[in-house]
Amino acid sequence: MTNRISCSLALALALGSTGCRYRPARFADHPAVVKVGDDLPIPVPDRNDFDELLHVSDVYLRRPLFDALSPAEPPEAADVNAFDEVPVSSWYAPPRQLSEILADHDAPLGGPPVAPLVLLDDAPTLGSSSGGLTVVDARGARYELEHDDARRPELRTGAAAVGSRALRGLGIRTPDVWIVELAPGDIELSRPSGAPEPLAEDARARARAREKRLVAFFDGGPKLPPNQGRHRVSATRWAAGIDVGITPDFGSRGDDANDLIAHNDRRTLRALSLFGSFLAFDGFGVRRTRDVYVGEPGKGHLVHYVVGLDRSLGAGSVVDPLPPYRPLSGRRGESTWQNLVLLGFAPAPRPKATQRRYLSLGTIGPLANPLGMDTALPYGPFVRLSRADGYWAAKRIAGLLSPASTLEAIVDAGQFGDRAARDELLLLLRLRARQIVGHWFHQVTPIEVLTTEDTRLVLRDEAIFGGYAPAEEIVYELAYLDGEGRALAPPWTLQAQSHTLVLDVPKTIVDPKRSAVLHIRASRRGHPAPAFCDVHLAFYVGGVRAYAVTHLPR
Amino acid sequence: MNGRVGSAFALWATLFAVGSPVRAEPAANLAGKERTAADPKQQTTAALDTALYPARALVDLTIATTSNAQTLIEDQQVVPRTRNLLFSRRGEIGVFPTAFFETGLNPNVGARMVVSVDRFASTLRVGYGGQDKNLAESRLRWVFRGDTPFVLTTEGYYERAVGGFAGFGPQPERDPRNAFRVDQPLRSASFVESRQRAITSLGRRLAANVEAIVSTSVQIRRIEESPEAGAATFGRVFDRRRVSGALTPTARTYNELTLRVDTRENRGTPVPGQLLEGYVGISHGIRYTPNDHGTVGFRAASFLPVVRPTNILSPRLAVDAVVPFGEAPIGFREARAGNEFRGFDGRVDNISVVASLDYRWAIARYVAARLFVDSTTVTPTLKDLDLRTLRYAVGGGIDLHTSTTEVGRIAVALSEGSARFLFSYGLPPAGFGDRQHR
Repeated sequence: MTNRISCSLALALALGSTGCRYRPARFADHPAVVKVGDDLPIPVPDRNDFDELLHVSDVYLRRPLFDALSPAEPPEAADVNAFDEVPVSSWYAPPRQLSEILADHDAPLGGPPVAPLVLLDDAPTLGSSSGGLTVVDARGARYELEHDDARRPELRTGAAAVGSRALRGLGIRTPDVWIVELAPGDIELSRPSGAPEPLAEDARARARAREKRLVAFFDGGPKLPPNQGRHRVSATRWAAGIDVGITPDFGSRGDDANDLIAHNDRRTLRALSLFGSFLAFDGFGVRRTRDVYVGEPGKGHLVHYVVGLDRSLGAGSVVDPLPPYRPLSGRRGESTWQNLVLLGFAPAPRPKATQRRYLSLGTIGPLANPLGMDTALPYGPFVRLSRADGYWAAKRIAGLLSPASTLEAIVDAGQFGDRAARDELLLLLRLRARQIVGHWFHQVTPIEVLTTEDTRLVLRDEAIFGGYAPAEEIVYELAYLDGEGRALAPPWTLQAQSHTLVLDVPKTIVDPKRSAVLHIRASRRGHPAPAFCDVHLAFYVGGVRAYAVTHLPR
Repeated sequence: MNGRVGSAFALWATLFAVGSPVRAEPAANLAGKERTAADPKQQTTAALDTALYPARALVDLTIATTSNAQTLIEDQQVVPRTRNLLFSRRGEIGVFPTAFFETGLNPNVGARMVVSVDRFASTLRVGYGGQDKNLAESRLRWVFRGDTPFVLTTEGYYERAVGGFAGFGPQPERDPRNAFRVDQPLRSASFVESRQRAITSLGRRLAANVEAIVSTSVQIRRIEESPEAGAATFGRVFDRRRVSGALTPTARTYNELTLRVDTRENRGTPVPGQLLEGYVGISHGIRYTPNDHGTVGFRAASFLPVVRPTNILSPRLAVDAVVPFGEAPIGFREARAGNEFRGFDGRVDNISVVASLDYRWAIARYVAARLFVDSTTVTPTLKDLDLRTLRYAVGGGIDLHTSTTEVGRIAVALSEGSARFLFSYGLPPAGFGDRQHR
């Protein structure tokens, strides 16, 4: 009896000691990870193809049941370091130079295809439409060729070139895409040297099939004026290694020893929802992701790509020509509940024809969905997009806007002949970016640590810095807390003066024997941000340094 | 071009300014977080989340193993993650556990071994759900490609399971064929059945929409009393000596020819079309089983678009008949029941009839809703068919499907004053009735 009472009391005290106040996370005081060593040699994994049956049952049955039995908030992203940033890894490759975005590199097999090109029998694996070609160039590099629809010159090829570079600018690996001009005579039909000689009859049949495909390819696309013989084509370099199939969107790859984080807990994949919304990426799903094994078999590792960017910039949702509208046609209404309640007779949404003012632009407008892009099948990581994830994605998108030349260079890679279309696309992307960035900068307290000088902290408010909120509207509530959430000094409020926040840590708090947390919440026009910012501080004699930053909801 | 890339780079540079020397390490606890933040508002949900962990693990295991099992039964592609987890290095032989699958939804565990080499596939499965709920089955399948592919399958099967019997006829309590014991009021009995079965079938696609299947089987049944039946044991409800097949083991061969014409584009999404299936079979008693009988039946269904091709109204009629040869009555386990009826009805007789009307419509990609009305009865002969003995069930549900096949369905049927919850997950049976597996 006495033991039972003692245990209950201890439990009550333990709960009571933390039960009434916020307690910050605790981080090890280590250097922040800036690069993940997930490139250890592994055997070539098995190919992972999309299985519709298992995927549909997983997405609509197992995961909803699993999530229904998980009342807690989804876990925070696990691929972030102590500064709430994503380190460089096989999943995330932030460019440091513009040339990395534009693929202006001197890699042995980099750049556009080098003549002569030889047609392969393999069908393209990345393109969204049928009728593409696969070729190998003089260096042995493999490219997948796609052309535009005759009614929409430059649309898909431009989207592929621009979309892939934009996504690369956001740190996501995409295949290199080049706009080239080709004529049928630029592609040879003979087999690559070194291939085994087939039977004569088989060889003739294959040659006829290749010729047929080549003719169909060039007949199907628009021809470049004034030279009617040449065609604008996108050439996608694929794959720079062994394509081992799709990247699972849930869990991790069991045959990749480097894959230690469940994919739905990866910030890079969660952020794709916002990157895709920014780029009007239609048709994204697990089939638009790829794992590629790079290196010699047995000594290489996987890197992870997003493909199919020819459907970005609204190119994948073009309605042209407009089909006759029949409210009770075979098309379903957009609302599932409406369809359910009306027994399948919900009127189909009235389609809207895509603008024809700029034929090289798709269904893309100035309004982007700041909550993320829609997908036909639920994509695991998107379900777990958190405020911190959205904020991180917003910072990446904001990075493309400044300097202005970055986005201009990306759009210029589309080689749009119509200058007005190019300018329009640039404007639309900027508007969409600001919409998404503005939304997510207000979902957190967007404070970042710029530097420390002795006991002085220099912080920056990203929303004010980017022009997404005027300083006069922002007020900060600040407090220094210890590891258990107890205040080390009276909390105070501060009116923002500019994007920079300079704080002198009180001498009474500076103590090399302990750490502290600067707890900040921004309010805009009296409305507190849904998430605060914790800056974790360590002290040394006469100085302070920040060793961790979090942006968490409360 | 060599320009710097925006403020993102500047932010990245702060890591060098305020952090310490960079480091690279494997991806585990990258943040170095030793303890997560705690908020009193989230503590309750966190505690609940922990308490529900076993339930989540159970859902994960059940669905993962069930879906894997169903996928492998139908020789569908084995996704690499499953292959890596369970299969031998060359991916030809695999063994994996199952749960809540082999012997039904009662708690049971099992295991499957799958061999898949080129056009040959073999599965061996065992399941244990208790002394009176266990099974073992082996299937071998060869697929021969060509202009019209055909499939040869052989199976061996053993099962021990609990069953029920309420007597023959549409109104069993009034049917003189039923030897109810007069000294007790119960009219439904429970029993344990042991079955051993070997089946060989050859299926061939004769034309684009036409399939033919020839099958032969040998089956031995033994009926025993169920220790869990309480007062409803077979011998207490019926005079076992007067119920054919209840007292002594039955052994019989069964040969059947089935033809199926299905003009639907696929069996997953709601699509229009017509379906007609028919079969004819002969069952011959062997060893001490004296009676022979024939079987015949059909199912006809029309899938009619209602304004939209994704709204399908399908009236269906299924008739299933067993025709005794000679004077000996058919065994009670060979009698026909309305297996397609989704309500409550345990009646059996020589002929069963099930008429249904389903309305199915697409509500989202991969998801369809369904409303249905079923009616059923049994009768000794067509002449004695009495529509006043029809039983009805109405209900609705949601189906999950891929672009080619059904994945699962959940439904509720109201019948006889009660509600029946129907849940199926995995690929649907290849054909209707499937007499060989009864």
